[in-house]
Amino acid sequence: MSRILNWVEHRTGLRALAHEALYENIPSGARFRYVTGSMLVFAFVTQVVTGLFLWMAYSPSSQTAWESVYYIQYQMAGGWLLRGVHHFMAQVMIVVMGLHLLQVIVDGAYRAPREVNYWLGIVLMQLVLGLGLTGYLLPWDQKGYWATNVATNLMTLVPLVGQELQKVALGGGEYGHHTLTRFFAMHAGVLPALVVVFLGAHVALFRRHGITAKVTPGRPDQYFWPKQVLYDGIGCLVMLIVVVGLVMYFNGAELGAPADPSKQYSAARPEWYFLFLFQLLKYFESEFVGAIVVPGVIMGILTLAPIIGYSKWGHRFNVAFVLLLLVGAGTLTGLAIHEDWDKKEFIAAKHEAEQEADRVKELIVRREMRPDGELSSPLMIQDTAVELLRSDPLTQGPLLFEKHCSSCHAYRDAAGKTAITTREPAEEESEEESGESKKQQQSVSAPNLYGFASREWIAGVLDADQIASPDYFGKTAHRDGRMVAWVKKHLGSDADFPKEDREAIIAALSAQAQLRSQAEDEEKDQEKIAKGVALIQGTCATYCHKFGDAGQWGLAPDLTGYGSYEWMLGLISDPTHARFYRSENDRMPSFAKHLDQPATNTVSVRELSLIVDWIRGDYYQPHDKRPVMPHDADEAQRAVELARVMPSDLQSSDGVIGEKLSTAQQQTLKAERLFRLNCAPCHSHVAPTGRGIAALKPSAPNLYGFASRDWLKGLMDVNRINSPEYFGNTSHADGEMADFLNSSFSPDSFEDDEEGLKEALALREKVIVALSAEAQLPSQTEADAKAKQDGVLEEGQEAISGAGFNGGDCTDCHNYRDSGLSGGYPDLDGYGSREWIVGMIADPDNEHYYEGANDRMPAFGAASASGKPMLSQEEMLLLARWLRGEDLGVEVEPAAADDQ
Amino acid sequence: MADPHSSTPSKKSEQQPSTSPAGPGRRDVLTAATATVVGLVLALFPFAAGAMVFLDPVLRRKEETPGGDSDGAPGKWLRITNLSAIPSDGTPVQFAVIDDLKNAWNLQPNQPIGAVYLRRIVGETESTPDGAAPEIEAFNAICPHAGCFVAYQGDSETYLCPCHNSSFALDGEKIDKPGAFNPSPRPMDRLTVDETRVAEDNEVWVRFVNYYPGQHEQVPK
Repeated sequence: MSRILNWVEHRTGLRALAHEALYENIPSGARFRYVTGSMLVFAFVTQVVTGLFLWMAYSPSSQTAWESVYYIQYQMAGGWLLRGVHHFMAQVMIVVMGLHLLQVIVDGAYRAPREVNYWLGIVLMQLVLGLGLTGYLLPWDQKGYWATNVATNLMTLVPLVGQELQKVALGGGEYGHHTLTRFFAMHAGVLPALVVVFLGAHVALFRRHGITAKVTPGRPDQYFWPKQVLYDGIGCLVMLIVVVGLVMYFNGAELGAPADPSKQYSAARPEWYFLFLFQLLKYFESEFVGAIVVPGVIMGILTLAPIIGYSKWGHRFNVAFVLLLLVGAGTLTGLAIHEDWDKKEFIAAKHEAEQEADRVKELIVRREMRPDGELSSPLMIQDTAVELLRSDPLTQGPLLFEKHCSSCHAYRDAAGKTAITTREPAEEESEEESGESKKQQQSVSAPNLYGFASREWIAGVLDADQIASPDYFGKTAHRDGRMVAWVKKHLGSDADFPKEDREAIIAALSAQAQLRSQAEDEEKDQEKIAKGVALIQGTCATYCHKFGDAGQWGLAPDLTGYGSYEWMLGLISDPTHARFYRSENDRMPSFAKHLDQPATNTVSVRELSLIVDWIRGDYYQPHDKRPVMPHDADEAQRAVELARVMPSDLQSSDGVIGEKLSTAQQQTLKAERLFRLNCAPCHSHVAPTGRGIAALKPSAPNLYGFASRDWLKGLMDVNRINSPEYFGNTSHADGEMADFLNSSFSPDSFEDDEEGLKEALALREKVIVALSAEAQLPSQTEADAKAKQDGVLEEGQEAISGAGFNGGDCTDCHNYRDSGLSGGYPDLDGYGSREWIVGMIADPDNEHYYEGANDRMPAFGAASASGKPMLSQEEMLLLARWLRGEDLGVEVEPAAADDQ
Repeated sequence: MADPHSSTPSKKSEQQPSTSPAGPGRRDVLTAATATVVGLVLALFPFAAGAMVFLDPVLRRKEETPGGDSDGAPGKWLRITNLSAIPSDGTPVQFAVIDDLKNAWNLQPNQPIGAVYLRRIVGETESTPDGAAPEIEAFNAICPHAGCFVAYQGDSETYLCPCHNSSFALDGEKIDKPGAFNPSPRPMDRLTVDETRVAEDNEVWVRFVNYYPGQHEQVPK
């Protein structure tokens, strides 16, 4: 054995080396106070070794750095421990380094002849701090990214070369791949190599001058081995236990959300040992002073300490200075922490960042439903981690809602708590205090979208007490609209609408949204929903809405797919679309009207999709049995396209491309389109030959030949007035007009008085002639002139005023030549004329028309929610002229049409 | 391995008799100088080889900065948003600035490269008369102090930097309140808005420039 050892010794001199290393004399023997240097060496070696292992799994680029650190931390066996040790050893090393410096100064170990060694130590301190700074960025999380951002911005303050210095450090003008590669090369290559060089020199000089011992008389000298080695070992062991304890306590090193250059992390702070510098910046207007001059002066004094320390007072100054420095730095650090402690924004930002960090880790291991109903294995990161967050509705939805929707829409749960993190409820309170500020008016001018399309939400719409509240239509123009009127009339407290029917409608309408939160209830309530669907078809869809094949577009939003992803995207992207509010849209912007020119949209379809997915709860949640993935940009685009599919007869038809059209033809096409879009939901315009525009759902008179003799003949025919061609599908069916016809012209009411019947029928012909003449239709010009010649016209006019039919006179109800009633019954003066028709279209509720008796016909000329009428004056005039069969090639001034 | 000394290790045996080197002479000075130069060249060569790559970010700059518009002003005109997205009551809103992002070997189209605050200037009197284009004010969201993003505080109607407490009024000017030190060296960086496009297309285009933080004057990056 000893021969082998001898051989080794002869060849290597190892024993002599070990002897040299271990048998250094320590005056007055081993002491625990000498351990800090060894602890620092141990810490550095640990950092090198753990760092090398981390290197084996780390990938420095802005697309992979966070991802690889995540993988080390959460996927690799023991990765959390390795990274934790590296992270916390760095922190402990800083503390021990501070102690070491303090000791060196207090014990005077920096004084001659050890000046150079002290300076080497100062260099080592800078290198270690540099390692801390560069290492902070490497995980590429929000915290490190934004804190280092400030640090590197400060580099530009260095005189003359500052900007170039920053560029070299960052590897370019902006943070990117090369920032990471450079920081990593510094952290893992340049700085450690320099530490090795300087540490070697530091230790060598230390051995040259020997330990600065605290000599106690009577305490015998000892060699370094074994007692001091044991003490050093104990010191290092304590350090190791502290580090491992910290790792266990904090569950490894923190990994924040991946860096997002577009999203400032307001709670970004440097590592705690730089906090005093951070705090210092708050006190100097010139950052140059705060970031360069003050730290420079401090370092300068520290560097000069050996020179200053040549005198006794100089040494005292040095001791005082270092103590003061520690107290000052400690105070600044304390101030920095204290300032953040109860800062609302800081806490909120920190909380948000923690949530994002948790969320992204949740998303990485998300599982999707496979077609066979099983859960897939974790999907991991397919693009980058930050992209996972950017495409997550739960993360982005509230932010986007806050930005684009919250100036009008609230998002408050039943407890009144706003569920958007960034808008503090306190803000609203203060606004209320300040009275009717503009912002407050704006802040809730549209429905509260919390739980949109859920049963609770729809129940509120269908509640006479709630629909006009600020949570629904209260602050919109629809407050005075048809829907509110309908709900108040039919669902008010004294209305007799069956409660079960209302609930069935709520369940059925809400089921259209296919909300995940209600899937189970809807599974159970299939019968109720089926009943509700039939009720909607028979109620909502007979009045205003379209629902599946029932009803029609044009008067109110389509209820088909109400609240579904596709429906919501369609509405938000363009509420003025025919399927939704058209011209009755109240102030809501079309956020993405132009699919073919995405750059012109206020908000991208993808962002809208994130908002919709968030409101609907369509985002990944780890505890879901059937997890969903958010819709991607392509799906969103397709959904919007789908939402806007129009029935072909509503689509614009400007004729065949290249076809030359006369003005009359163009105007006719335009009129037909206006009719299709605005009138054809209810009215037909079909000639007896069967040609024309059929109503989507005939619920109003066929307007072909309106006010002509033929048309009036049908209207005044006992057998036809109640047909769908006239009043059959309106509330006027079997109404007063029909009663009048019945008693005046039906054979039953004359019994055997054939003469009387004949007389009445003859008189009716004259009434028709006279009434039709009011319209002055171009097609009847000759006939009207002839009637005037024959005196038939005059007889008819007299008959209108007072023919004494069995059922009474026309003027018993209608206003005609200053006699008769106004209101409820249309005026007969100018009946069917341009002005009359325009007036009727513009405002059927007018006293000259159907005031109080109007059946569902909208006032197309009234300013709608958007401030503009559904039809302009020109459009109504065009429709009137087209209905009257005028020559549309001739231009007519739209003026004077609004007298009626 | 043949080793004649393996059995008798002795320090003495290692010392081979040799002639001691001659003292320094004139010829040796030349040799020493040459050796030093050669040594220096050898030692510096690897550093020289890396220097170009290391300084690439600085060297590259001159070739690649497009230098803004023909009028020589720095920055690039970028479309920020539609006019309708800016609240009419004069509340500033932060918008991302979207442009192609060059990141070493990656070129990612349409990435957020910064942020601006836009607000309508609302006069004392009623809102702008119909037809007249509203006046839009744009600020770079980066704090001129140390380069953080400033946040808009609705309740106090100020911009506040979350890092070192710089604060600015709605018009971007520094707020100097007694007791609350404002470390910013200059007001927020105002950006030029294309008024013609606001008036004609209802679009907000801004000449986007980042300035170096921490300096009294604006120095474009």
